Amino acid sequence: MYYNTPNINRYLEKVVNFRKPIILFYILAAIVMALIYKPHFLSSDELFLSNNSLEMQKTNDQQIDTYSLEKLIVTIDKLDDKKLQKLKELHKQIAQLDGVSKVSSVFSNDFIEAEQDGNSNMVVVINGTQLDSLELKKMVKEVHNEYCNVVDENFQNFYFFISTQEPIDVKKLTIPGSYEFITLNNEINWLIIFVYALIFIAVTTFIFRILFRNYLSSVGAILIIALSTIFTFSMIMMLTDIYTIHITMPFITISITIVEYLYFYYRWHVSQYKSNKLNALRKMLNRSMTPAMWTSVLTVLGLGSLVFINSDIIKLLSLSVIISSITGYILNLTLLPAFLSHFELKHTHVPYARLGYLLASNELHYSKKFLFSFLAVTYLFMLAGGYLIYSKSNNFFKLPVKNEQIELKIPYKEMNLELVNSVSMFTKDLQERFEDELGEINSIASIMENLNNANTQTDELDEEAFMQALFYMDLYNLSDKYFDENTLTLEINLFDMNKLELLDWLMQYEGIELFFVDKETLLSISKYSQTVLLATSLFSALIMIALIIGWIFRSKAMIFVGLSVNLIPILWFGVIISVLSIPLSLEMLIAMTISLGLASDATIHFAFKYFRLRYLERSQKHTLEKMFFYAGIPVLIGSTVLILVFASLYFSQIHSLQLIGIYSAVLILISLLTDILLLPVMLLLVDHFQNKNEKRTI
Amino acid sequence: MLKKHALCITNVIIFSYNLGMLKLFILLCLLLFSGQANDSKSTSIVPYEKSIVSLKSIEKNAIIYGSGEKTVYVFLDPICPYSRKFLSMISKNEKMLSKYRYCIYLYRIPRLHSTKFVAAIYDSKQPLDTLLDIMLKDSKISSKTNKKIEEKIDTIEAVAKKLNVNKRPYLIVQK
Repeated sequence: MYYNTPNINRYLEKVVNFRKPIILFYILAAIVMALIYKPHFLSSDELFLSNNSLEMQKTNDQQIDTYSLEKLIVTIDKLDDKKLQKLKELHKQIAQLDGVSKVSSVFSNDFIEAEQDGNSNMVVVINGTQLDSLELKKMVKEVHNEYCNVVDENFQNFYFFISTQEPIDVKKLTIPGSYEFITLNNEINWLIIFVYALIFIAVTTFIFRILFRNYLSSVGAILIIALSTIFTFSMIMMLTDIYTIHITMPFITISITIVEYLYFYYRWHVSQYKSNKLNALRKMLNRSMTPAMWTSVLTVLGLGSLVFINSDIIKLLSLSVIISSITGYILNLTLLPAFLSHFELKHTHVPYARLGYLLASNELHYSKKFLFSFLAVTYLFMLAGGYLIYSKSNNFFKLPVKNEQIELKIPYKEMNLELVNSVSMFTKDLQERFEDELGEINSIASIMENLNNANTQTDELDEEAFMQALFYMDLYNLSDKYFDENTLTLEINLFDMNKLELLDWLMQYEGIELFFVDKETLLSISKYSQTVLLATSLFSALIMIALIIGWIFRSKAMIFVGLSVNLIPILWFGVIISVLSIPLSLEMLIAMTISLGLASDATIHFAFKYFRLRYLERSQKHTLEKMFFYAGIPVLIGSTVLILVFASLYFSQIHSLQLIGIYSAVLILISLLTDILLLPVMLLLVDHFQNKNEKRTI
Repeated sequence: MLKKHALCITNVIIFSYNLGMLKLFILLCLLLFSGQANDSKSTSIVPYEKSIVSLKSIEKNAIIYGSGEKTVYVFLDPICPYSRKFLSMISKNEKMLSKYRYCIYLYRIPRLHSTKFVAAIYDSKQPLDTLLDIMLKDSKISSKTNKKIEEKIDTIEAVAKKLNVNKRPYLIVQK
């Protein structure tokens, strides 16, 4: 407990005696582990999500092929016949690439009309490739009423939706003008990763050099972080057989280990005032080992149950936090004293510790009214968030999209009018529900309707008109585009909408059996369902962590403190992303996991120091000052380093790193503010020593 | 089409202030008449099943093209440009010839004066080859009608009128 000071003299003696073998052992063990367990890094969450996707399973069970639907946007200055020819060639080139099964663009568009000459007339289908620039402009404007999903109204942006089984190398294509390629298959650019590893080392070294006036602190940090990361992922692979790691997951170990390291190192750094060199190591261990042990216990018990959930992502996230916390703890207890025992510091003054005194004197006179109002608002948001997530009309999770496409397959036994009518009814229902949020819906129903409208021989789509439309589809080679032997193909163009709302509606639609085939959509569904699962897991972890904090400090009030401090960063971040309609992603969940790990660590360290000093009958003011000095400053330094490193990731060209960068920077900032502004105030609020000490004084 | 109508009606209303009510009435009538003329689809008044029965009854007069399982009854005029385009498209497409069996009936568009071509086709020993020569290669073959040919033409014409065949090519695809 917080009032015990462990006797570690003999242990420290042994560590110092065997310091060289200890250092050697860890370095060799890390090299061996790194050689045996080689993870496969991914920058997209496709594999993680598809492994647990029920909709993907459903589609595969029907033996319907799935593929990636990638988008190439080509921008030109002005459309003329020369540019048009180049765009037509581009369409042809894409269609001929390996693995490409379909390309939807203005050149795959079929314009249907009736050509007439007195009593002689015929349904004619004109393909986009047959038109010159003027004809194309005229046709698109006539047919699409100035809006078309494959070209913008100024004829400057041309969209190519590519269905492919294999990754596409757009660099091989001759693209007229500038372009943007949106794909699921992001290859990892190791050069950028290496540059960012250097940035991390540089930022850590720079900040630690300024704050601690030495390079030792940064060398120690990098050593502990590197070993902890290697051990964590080797053990995950050993325990779970999951060899695929998301490129951003090492940031979990980095974040948790650096803050843990700082609690130990900082204590050693500020305890250099006595002549005996071992004294600083003794202080470092006996003051930090107990709270650090409880942080590991907290993560193991709090997140341990999540390991048994049948989801690779949740397993990986929870194991990353648990194992990095344990390995970090063991390394700080063994390797760090062995390493630091070689050194002695001369300049150990930490002038910035005054910030702690400033905060302590201000927070001592906190406003209860303001605190309760803030907590009330926070818990109201929590209730509202819970309602939005779990209520039937889920509108918390949003996936705003503009000019996208999704593809569906509808299995059928017999091609007949009834089938076409049911697709037509589905289209009508869909259009009624989403109105102008949707663009064109291309299906057998739409093409038959267009053919029938152009056919002067038929009126409404009856049996006769249906047979004729089928005939014209064969005549103009349109059949393969809309159906094969077993399934109908349906393309929905999304204009400007929340895709999740549409997917939810489609999954609930009962009139027709629908299967999703493009991986982007399947991943969106999987992401959405797993996010709900992860939200539940995170919330249950929060409750567990709060209960364990209450148990560690033998205080019911600490359950409330633990819950509030850990909940606030995630909840307020949730409010921000909900207001800004930012779609949920795996990167966001990783950032939330990092935040939970950091917030729970800070709660233990702060509360441990606070209650220990109060137990030793220090005044509230003195206790707060000491708490800020010994626990607050390491959190402040660690969080600053992490915020700077994560924020710099935003400028990388890897989308996944950009996301983890910005989300983590924001979450760690909220977490830091909660730790230094709210946690001390809440500790003052639940201080059960207040009455006891007052009684003693009387 | 709706947009066009709306624009026309608006123009007519503005214009009517200058022309007076009578002229407005005449213009509206003309507009409605022209709209009907554009939109009208002269569909067959005979039910689909009955049409098929009628067409089958004259099948012996048809020129058969293709070997598919599905039968397409088609009325063509050998001189009509769209009939020619239609025949050209199916003749170049192997899939269309193997999937469908075409029963071609020659039914003249009066203004095109194609009787001599129809007669030449029906009069030849290989009507299909002659039909393809005339319609695809634009061969100048002509022949005078005889009673037998006229009977054939009349039989086809009777069914065509019954089915309200008002354009060429005119298709009916059997289920």
